[in-house]
Amino acid sequence: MARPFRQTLQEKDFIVTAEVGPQKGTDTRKVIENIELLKDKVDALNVTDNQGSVMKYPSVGVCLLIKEHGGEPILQMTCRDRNRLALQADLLFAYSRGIDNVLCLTGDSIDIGDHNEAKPVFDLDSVQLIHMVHTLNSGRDMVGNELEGKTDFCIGTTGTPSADPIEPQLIKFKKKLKAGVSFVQTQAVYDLDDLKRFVEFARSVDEKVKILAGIVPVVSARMAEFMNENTPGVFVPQEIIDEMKGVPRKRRVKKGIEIAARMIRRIKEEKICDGVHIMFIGREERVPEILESAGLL
Amino acid sequence: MREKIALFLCDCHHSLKNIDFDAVREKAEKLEDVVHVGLSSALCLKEELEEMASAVREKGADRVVIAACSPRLSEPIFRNAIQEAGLNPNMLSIANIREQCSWAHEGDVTDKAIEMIRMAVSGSRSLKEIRREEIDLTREVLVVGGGRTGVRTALEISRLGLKTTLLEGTDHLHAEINDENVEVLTGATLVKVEGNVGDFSVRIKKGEEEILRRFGAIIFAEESRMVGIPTSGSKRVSGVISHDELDEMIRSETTRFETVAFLLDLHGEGFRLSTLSALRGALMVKEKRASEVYVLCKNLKVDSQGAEALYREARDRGVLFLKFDGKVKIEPLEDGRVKVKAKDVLLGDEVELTCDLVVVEEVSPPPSAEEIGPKLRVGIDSQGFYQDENVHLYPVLSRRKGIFFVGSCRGDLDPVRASMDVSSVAIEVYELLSRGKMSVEIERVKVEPDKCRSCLTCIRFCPHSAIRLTRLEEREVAQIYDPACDECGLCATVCPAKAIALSRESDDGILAQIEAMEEGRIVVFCCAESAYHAADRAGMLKMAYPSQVRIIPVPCAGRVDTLHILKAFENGATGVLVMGCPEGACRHLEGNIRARERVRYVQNMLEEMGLDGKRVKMVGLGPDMAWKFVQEVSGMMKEVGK
Amino acid sequence: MIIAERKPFQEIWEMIRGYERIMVVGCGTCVTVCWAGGEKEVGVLSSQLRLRAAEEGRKLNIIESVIERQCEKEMVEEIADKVREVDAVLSMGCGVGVQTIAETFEEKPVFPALNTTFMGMPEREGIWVERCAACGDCMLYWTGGICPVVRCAKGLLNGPCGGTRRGGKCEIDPDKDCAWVLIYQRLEKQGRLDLMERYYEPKNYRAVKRPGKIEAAIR
Repeated sequence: MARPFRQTLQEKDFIVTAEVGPQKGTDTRKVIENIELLKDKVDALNVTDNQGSVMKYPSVGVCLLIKEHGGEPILQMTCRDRNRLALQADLLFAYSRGIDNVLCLTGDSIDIGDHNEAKPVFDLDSVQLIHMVHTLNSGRDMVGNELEGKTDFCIGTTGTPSADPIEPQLIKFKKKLKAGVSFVQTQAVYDLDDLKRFVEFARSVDEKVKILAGIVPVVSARMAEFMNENTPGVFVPQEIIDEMKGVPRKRRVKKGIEIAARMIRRIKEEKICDGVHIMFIGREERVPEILESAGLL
Repeated sequence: MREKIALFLCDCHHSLKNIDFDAVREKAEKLEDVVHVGLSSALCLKEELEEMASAVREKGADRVVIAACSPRLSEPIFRNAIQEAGLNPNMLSIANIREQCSWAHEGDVTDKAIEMIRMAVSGSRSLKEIRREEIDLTREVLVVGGGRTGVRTALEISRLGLKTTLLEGTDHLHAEINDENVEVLTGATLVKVEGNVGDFSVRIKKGEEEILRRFGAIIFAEESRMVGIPTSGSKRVSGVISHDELDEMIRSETTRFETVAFLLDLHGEGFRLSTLSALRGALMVKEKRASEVYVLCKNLKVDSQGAEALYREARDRGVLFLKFDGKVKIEPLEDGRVKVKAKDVLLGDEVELTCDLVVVEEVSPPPSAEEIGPKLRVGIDSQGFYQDENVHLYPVLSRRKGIFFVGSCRGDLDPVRASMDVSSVAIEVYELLSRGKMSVEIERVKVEPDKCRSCLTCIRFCPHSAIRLTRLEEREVAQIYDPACDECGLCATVCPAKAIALSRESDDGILAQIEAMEEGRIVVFCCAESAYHAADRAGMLKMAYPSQVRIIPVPCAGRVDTLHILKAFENGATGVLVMGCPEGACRHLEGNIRARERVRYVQNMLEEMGLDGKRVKMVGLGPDMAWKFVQEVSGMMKEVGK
Repeated sequence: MIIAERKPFQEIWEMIRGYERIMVVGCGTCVTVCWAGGEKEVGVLSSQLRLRAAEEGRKLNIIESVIERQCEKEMVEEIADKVREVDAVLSMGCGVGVQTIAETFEEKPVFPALNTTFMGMPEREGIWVERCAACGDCMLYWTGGICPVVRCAKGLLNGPCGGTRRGGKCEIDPDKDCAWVLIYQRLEKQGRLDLMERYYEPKNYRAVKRPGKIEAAIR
């Protein structure tokens, strides 16, 4: 049985989480493999929720699998696909089955996914969602009715340290902190100055919140350039792109992992924040390599 | 009441031998509402014109159709003639059976002549009388800018007997003015301009005061500025100074310098004013202060008066000229000197100079241009100076009647050219305002208030800003100000409610001409400024082209409506060409661009409907390009013709 | 103003297949102003339909007409005589106009030639942008006059989302500004950033119960 994440947050110096992505379909064999591979190497495992607006097996389903296999899951919940009734109902279900960590997100836009003619919901935004989880935790639903059995979620959310412009993002982020979150997993960050500034801001609002830096290994110069063009809030500095250039195809992933590990080590040594959140969807089997190179195993 | 059309044919001294005029007359007499058909061999002669006038009077005709030579030549004569006959001069349609029929094709063209006459007769039914009125104009002129050009302009205008107001933003003019006919407002800026030529209402801010005035014309005469430009990011580098600062230094200090460099052409190339300034500066510095003086440039523009001589003098005195390519690198050194690096074109190598002073300056448009240009919709060019880059406007006109530009505010003009501008604008303004009245044809283009939806489309599209929103019986509708209207018809074409009508080249008139055509024609809409002339020239040069061509004159290519083009196809045309002026040469500034966009739209539309988009094409050509006219119509014939 | 645009020609052509006598009727209000269904566009579409019919050797008679405002029954009734002469009506009005004509002449098929898209304004000639979603609960007071319901692609009330692109552009469309960045800039200019720092409760999406209806008191 894994240590409850809320406990880890209190007790551990450097926290490490990672992500698994569900499959499109009912065949859970691959995701179970990934769970088995990672559950004991990290403090908790996030499960994405129709990530990139691509329809997938639900996050709560894989969270249950993690629990069954003795790991510690973090349920990612977005506001894109469910209205406030469904959100509350799904949270009640998740808690009742032992899932008690939730990451509150707004959600990617419908247009980037494969069902891009669907009706986007966004009945709530991420800030409202955080407030709503607190309400469930206090034993009431959003309109004030008493619950037969309340929840006790450990609440987390996301942040975007490299957003440009940063000021509107920080205003929103402050609202999230004021609503009350225990941990923050940021979007992929490559510029440690941006990260430092972000952590400083967070601490000025809430000394106790734990910040985990988002780590996404770059696997090619082109991928980095693509992300710079198309992935909002993510900015890969030229030094890293240059470092990736000229690396032969076979060694690229290795190089990306090397760079990511280097960054993790720096964050740990300089105590820039409270840990890292590693996102390598589609390549979950290489995550142990990152952990090893970063000296986290 | 049906129309009564008097038709006159001219066979040009019996020279149009490929037209059987008897056959033509026979057919013409059978046309509906034609009350008279006359045949002459020289309709432009005095006796013939008199005969025409009496025939018109006798038969009680209310409009005249003439089949003869090009209206470019004959229209004024015939307009006078029908006026003599008591008709409004606009009640005239001309079928160009000489240049655009007999001369343009080999073989017999009687059938085409008959069809052209039928077209002109059909079109003539939509003709409307156009009255002339005398509009009062304010005989006062506003000159903006109290520099050298502004002061000279104000004095010149005042000399013509027009009351002038000179506006200057700082508190001093270039020179004192002792003319009581010139009102000087210093420390004053232009806040708002409303209205049109002859009737501009202007709001001026002077200190705390706001002054309201009416002017008949506005002349922008501000000087462009020489600005020292930062050469290292946005910071000024010590040792890099402007010409003004150099002047100051020369006047106040006595230090000698080893090396001074003048830099030109850092952004763009070949500016007159910077060149003059640099040459003078270089000579002065060489004489008084420095051992080595360099001038670095990509090109020296010496076409100003005296510039060539200055250049030679500078060389004689040992000023060294360096022609560079690419970028100039400027590095400040610790001891306060400046290193300048550039690739010398003649040496083919990079050259490095260590200078005590680097003098950099470039010509910059007056600061007001950026704001006032778009606000007043008077047009600015690609470098930020006033005045659109358009041949019809040179030297001193703007796209708006009654607003003028003189001197360096409209470009890199040296003082001699600037004073030529002053003379030009004086003539323009005198012609415009001296009488205090303008004789204007009224309602050549008119908005029907009941149909107007106040969508503002015409107001936004009018290139001459001649349309304004006016309160009319509880509603705000568009109204065209006749003195400012240049009759391009762009507004009528773009109006989504079809609320605007032209008295000449009306929609009805154009559609009537189209409907009078047979099937299988190549319809060519020719703009009056260029394409129509090119077509005439093709005839004059006897350059034969397909006789399926039917030309419809329009004031501007932008006048051609999607509806016109589609109607042509509905009527069985195989191809449609829209011909207008080339870029930068449209009298109505954007007319040709709008036409191009519209033709592209129709091309897509045709493709969408499963028809061939190549059946419609936009062509830009100049008035003398007969060869291009022939090339394009022949090309279209080959592509789609039957 | 209601903004609409013409459906693709092929779609309209399919609708009137089989009909020999039709009316093409425009509207003199919103759709005239946005260049979609005024008198000019009625002329253009009718011309296109006739051309296409001629290509296919089909018989097609078109009566062209314009109603001042298609959403007024009395104005629609004015074309009753002409409607009797045709087998189908192709309306170039907005969705409201089409339905008003349809319910005025119930036995006659009425088709939409336009897609009604949004309520908006001209940014400049020929470019119309959406501004209002008719949510029935206007919050423009709180957002410096910029509507997040419509201009934020996700309709967030506590924005921005983490998806803002560099330079303040929207995650979904790099040509569109992030509404919340605009709101930030506007409120900052006015010294009212406290309004953005406020927490906004979830929106009442049933402020207008659809289909909406308002009964105005006599005044």
